[in-house]
Amino acid sequence: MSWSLFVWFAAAAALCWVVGSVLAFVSKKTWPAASASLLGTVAMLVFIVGMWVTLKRPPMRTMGETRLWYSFFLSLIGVVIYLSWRYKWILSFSTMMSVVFLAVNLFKPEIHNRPLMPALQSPWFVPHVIVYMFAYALLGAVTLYAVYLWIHSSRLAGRHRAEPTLEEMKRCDVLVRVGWSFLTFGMVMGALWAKEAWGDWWSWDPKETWAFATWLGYLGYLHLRQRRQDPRTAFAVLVVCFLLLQMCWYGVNYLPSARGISVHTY
Amino acid sequence: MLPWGYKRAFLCCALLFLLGVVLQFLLGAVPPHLLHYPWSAVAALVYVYALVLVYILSDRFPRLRRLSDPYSGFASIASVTLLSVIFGLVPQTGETGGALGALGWTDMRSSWAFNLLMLYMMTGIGISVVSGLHHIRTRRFVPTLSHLAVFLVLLGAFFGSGDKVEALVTAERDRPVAVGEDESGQEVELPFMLNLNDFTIDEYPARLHVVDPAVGKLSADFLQADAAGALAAVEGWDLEVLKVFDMAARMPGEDGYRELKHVGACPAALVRATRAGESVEGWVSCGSFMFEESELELSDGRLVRMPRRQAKRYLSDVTLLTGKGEKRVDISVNHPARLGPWRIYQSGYDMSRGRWSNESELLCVKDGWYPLIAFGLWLLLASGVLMFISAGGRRPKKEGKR
Repeated sequence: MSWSLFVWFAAAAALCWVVGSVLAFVSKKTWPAASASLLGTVAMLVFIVGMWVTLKRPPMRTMGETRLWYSFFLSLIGVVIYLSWRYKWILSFSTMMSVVFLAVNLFKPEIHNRPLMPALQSPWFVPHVIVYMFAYALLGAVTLYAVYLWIHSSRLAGRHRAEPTLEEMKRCDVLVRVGWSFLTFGMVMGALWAKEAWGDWWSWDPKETWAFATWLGYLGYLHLRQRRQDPRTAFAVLVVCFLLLQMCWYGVNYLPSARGISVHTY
Repeated sequence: MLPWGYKRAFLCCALLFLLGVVLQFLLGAVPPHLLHYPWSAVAALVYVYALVLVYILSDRFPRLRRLSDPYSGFASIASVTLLSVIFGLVPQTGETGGALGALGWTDMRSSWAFNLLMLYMMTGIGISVVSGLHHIRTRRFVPTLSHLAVFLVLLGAFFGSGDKVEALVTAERDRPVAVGEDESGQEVELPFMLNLNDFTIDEYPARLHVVDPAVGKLSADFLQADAAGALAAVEGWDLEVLKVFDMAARMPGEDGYRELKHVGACPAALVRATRAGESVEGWVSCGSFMFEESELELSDGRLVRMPRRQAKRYLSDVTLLTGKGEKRVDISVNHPARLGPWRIYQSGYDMSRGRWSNESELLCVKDGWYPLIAFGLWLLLASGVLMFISAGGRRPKKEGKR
């Protein structure tokens, strides 16, 4: 497997996802849309596994490689949410976001092959990256869901606002709780790994600082929801948290405060 | 309209922030080694005792409950998040000049405001842990566990940071050493002696890139020169390795390289570059501390260059000598050695000599609070698993409008 084949896998995956999104609206049954979307996800998985075998290391070393995982997980989570709650629109949103990240890989590759330096040769490397990418994808999906509920609830239904139901808010909370659990796994694994590699649990590396801010942000959301605040405040907090997450994932690479000093630059 | 509970809690955070700013102006940054054992342990115990006392007294003095109510919980999290964002945006240069430096934002981890707000957050978590453990209930078990885990980690970080000893030791082959240097360059005596028996480096195969000397940036594509016959298209040129040596040298007066298994030897490859009928051939080497590098000049002015090979693994064979005896260990990155409360990490080597480095940099770290923080982190991992499993919670009986 090589990056030269990526365009074909990306095209096949995108086509399957688009077909799945359309089928979600056209078909009365859920399985045609879910199957088509899952086929796209499998195409991504085949490419990822193929790269893993070819590179003789996990494809998690470069920004381009992490985007593969993001698209893979996001499409998978989209299908799970669709099958669980029958939201037709979620497949369109997850397709849109997954395709954007595939397109970024096509137009701004950042995929050059880098060897695995000694610090990355650890049993923590693969779980640390995978749980983070899963958390990022899940929290991306919940942001889409929150924005949808926000826009939907702002429309006037007759003379009253169409408020989100308890069940909808609970789904939001559940997704954030799962996403936050995975952020916690990623952070704790990172700390345990850092202690083995460098002798410090935490060194306030710029990436770590933003990871801490993101983790705290979603923790704030969970605490805010205990008081059953206005859903719109909760949605606004989720959007801010999502921005923190983007900063943590790749925004930090462009910050003057991080340039040249972060051990997480990739 | 924001409920009064939130306004009060945010006001409290704002006052703590202002207090932090005043202390920053008066005292400067928080000293990195404020507390040392045994006073650090005493202070931690007194702090935990105070939290229990606050919890017990909160029945008689209901205002004390405000320290750990959900309003102060959210406000302290939001305030620390905000300062963390500033932490991430402001370059941490440690400069004290200018408005950012005066506020302590250029060294946020040592700023009073950040530490006071973290302490406020930790206090709220601590009291809720005491409350949770006192009224242990199945429904609140997972949150209590995760609060306890975060509290233990923060407690260890707060009270234990002053006890950590770090010493960077530069060990040369067969020259026992018992002294290292801390971050500020001060000598640190070690309670053991360290002898480097051997130091080895495994390197990744050499790579050949095409580079424009005017720009200096290596091509993204490359040819891995691990065996004769290797081929790749790089930047429009077809590169082929005709001959390759892992250890080679160019003798004075000779054009080519010859195999030489000796200290200072460098990798070298005889390369042929072809493009649209034209062909160039020559030796390319990254050189070493003994030999200069060689590049192949192409007809379009660009060069075929071999950057220094990257380390795959480096390993120190070390004997640790104490009054009780000696212990022989292998130390590599991600595989530190243990000696009582000390851990010895592979930190670096003499980069200028690369694989021929005679010395190894080893970081010796004594961290008495290791067990507490490690326990807290594993507990946090376990509570995360439980939170994931129980994320769905109980299903509401019927759907209703908010």
